[in-house]
Amino acid sequence: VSFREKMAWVSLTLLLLIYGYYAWTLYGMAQAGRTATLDYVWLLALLALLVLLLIVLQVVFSVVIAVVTAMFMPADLKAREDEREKLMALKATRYGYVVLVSGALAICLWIIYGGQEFYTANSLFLVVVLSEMTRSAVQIVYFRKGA
Amino acid sequence: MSGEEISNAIRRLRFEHGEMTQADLAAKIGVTRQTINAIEQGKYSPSLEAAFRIAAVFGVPLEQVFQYKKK
Repeated sequence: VSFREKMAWVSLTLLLLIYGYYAWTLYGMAQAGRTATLDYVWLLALLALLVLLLIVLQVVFSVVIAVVTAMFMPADLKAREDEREKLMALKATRYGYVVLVSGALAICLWIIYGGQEFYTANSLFLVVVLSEMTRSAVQIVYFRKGA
Repeated sequence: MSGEEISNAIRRLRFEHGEMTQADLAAKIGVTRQTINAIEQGKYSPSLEAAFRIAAVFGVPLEQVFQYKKK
């Protein structure tokens, strides 16, 4: 498993955990019927905190993986991104883009037909996260498959 | 054009060059070991530039490394 594949796994796992927690929190609010009286400042603060946590954890994991790779597979760490990895990243970005555009258009229609702001705003955010998760997942598939 | 149409002799050439490892070949042509593995297994067709670099490492013409079979 190459250094960049490990990083793709880390990215996908962290996205799942961090935004999974955010989605779970929102689900709890919706169940409690607090969507109409929600304090958006509090919600944005929670989101900002989670994004910060995501960045910190990504840095921590990349340092740990880099140290372990340097100890056991130093050549893997030194290897620059090559043509196959660039191609995989491009293909993965294309899939992520399809998710992003499709989701954004669907939410536009939802807004036009009277979607509530709590659901539409968070769904738009979910689409951004899903597109990023798709990118990481497709990259991992290509790493496993070949190209 | 699918990858199945192109075969290669990299495994044999590595063997004939003192059991050169995939990592050694990768370092010589500036790609990752995983990319050499994918090329050897026919899962990835390299760029023309990388293909020429592989042939140059073994000191043979390109057609001795890669073979194109018309379907």
